[in-house]
Amino acid sequence: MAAVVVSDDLVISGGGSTRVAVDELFADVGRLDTAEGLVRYASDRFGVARSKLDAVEHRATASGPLPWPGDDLRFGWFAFEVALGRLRLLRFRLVMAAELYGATERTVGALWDLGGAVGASVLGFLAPRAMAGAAVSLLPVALPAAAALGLARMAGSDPGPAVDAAVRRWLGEHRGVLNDPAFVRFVRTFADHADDFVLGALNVPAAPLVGSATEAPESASLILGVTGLLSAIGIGTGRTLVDGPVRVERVTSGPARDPAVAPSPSNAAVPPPRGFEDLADRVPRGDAQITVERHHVDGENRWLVYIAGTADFGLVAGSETNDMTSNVHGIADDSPLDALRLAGSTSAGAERGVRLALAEAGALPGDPIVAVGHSGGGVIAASLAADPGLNVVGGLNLGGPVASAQIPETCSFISVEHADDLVPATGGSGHPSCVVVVSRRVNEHGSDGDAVLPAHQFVEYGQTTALLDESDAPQLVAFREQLQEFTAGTVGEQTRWRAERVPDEEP
Amino acid sequence: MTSYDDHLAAVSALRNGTAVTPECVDDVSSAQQTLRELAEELRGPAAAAMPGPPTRWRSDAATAYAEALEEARGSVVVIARIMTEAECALGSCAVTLRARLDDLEAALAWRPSS
Repeated sequence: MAAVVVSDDLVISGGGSTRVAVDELFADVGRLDTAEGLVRYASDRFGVARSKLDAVEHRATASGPLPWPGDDLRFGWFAFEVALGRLRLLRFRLVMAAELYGATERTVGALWDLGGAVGASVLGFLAPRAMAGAAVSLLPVALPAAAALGLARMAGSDPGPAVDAAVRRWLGEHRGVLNDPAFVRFVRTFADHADDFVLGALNVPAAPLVGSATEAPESASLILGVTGLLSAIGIGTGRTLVDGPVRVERVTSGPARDPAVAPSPSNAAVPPPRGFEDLADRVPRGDAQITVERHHVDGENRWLVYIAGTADFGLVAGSETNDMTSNVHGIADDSPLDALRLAGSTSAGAERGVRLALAEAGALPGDPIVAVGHSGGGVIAASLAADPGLNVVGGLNLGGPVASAQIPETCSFISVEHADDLVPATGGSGHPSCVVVVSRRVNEHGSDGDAVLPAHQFVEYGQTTALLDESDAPQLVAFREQLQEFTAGTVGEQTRWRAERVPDEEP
Repeated sequence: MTSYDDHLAAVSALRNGTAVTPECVDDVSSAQQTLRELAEELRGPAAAAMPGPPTRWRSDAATAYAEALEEARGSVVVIARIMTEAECALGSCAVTLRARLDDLEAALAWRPSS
């Protein structure tokens, strides 16, 4: 079994800054700031002492010869200036390195964007022709396959699992490509230019120019509008990407809350989370999709909500709310245009489930909230943070596509996105925002495990959050301090919840 | 032992403004204390706040950064050394001034024996 090389380098960007750098560099900038502050303070005090000594020197030496340190005092001032100059220069060089890194990233991003717009249009233009040619050449294979599938259905057997297994096998065989950071970048670019592809296929002239106005959220909104319309006129399953009402129920089973082990009605007492790893560790991974934690601080209730990732990857909306329907809604919600969509549900069922769980747990409008989520749960955490009607003061996304979320500056939001994880890229490039993006390449030389998307696994994000806790980068230190202030060291009261979609007539 | 001459010299020093005063001794002692504290702060918290050499970079830039860091650290150490030397010199000054002040006070207190 080949060794899996794990990189500990965290690359930090965003946060309202144009700088991009490994966390060690940001941490060093912070340390140099501190050192410069201390030396400057010493320099100021030395200046005061020196002025007093200058005033007293004449009186002191008038009484007779003294070993007066005149040279030391003069050279001391000069030495302070030299040290401060060196510290300032060093700090400036580090900041410039981060700016240069950021500028390079933006240039590369712009080139990808340009290539994406043109490439998607050309691909869209060529795809129908290529597919037509391919369909003819594949007829000898496709016809027997279709016949076999038809026969299987007629015989009463479901070919779905076989197809599913074949798809999984194909994905497994192409895992190397799927987890290549270049492919991840390609996906991010394509997510922004899916509309160019469609316009190209429709032979719209100058498609790159027309398509540049729309990005991933608008594309997602368009998909929801089309599927909602098809559902309304009775085409398709009726629930393909069409959300519905949800309800939540308290979960009292599971290893931690098994009534056979411990009485369940009382809420579980939990210590305050100490940092990123604790936050990640509390994201539910069992029956519950949502964990709500209440901390009573200074006469107010403060809430931490932890949201699990996608559990159902099918396109048909079933009872499971953490599914692709919620994910597409979560991305579409980031576009103001989505409010104009007439067909389909207005918001993700999973997000409504989280809001219901918070309300059922006792959260009131205006109560401070910190939202944490993995994958699709991260999308919900970002949606909550972007809602001006809620008082979300902090958030942590682990591998969710949140680039387009309109998160206000008042919310400290950290988005952890592995460079070799495809999922965050599906949200597109987004826009400059106050969100601090922390990236890390998990598998430098690929992974030989069974997972199709190894870098998206929860355990990998857990390991990255441990690195975030160790980092001295000011952005991460500030978030940890904010978290400690948020809970004020109080013991929390934890409840776990499960949301599910219900038929339209049973809200 | 003080003498009449010492007494006259002390009175003369007071008149000329060349006599050591308690304020002068206090000022020098106070500055000495400040420089001692500065040296300690520079060797302690300021030096501790400085970043260590990069451990995760492996490049020419990292080497150059490590060298520049060492220079910056060295310049802080140099200030601390200067502060210590100045503090020691001021300590000697304070001892000498205090001795002169004691002599002055003794000379001024001299009275002819009857």
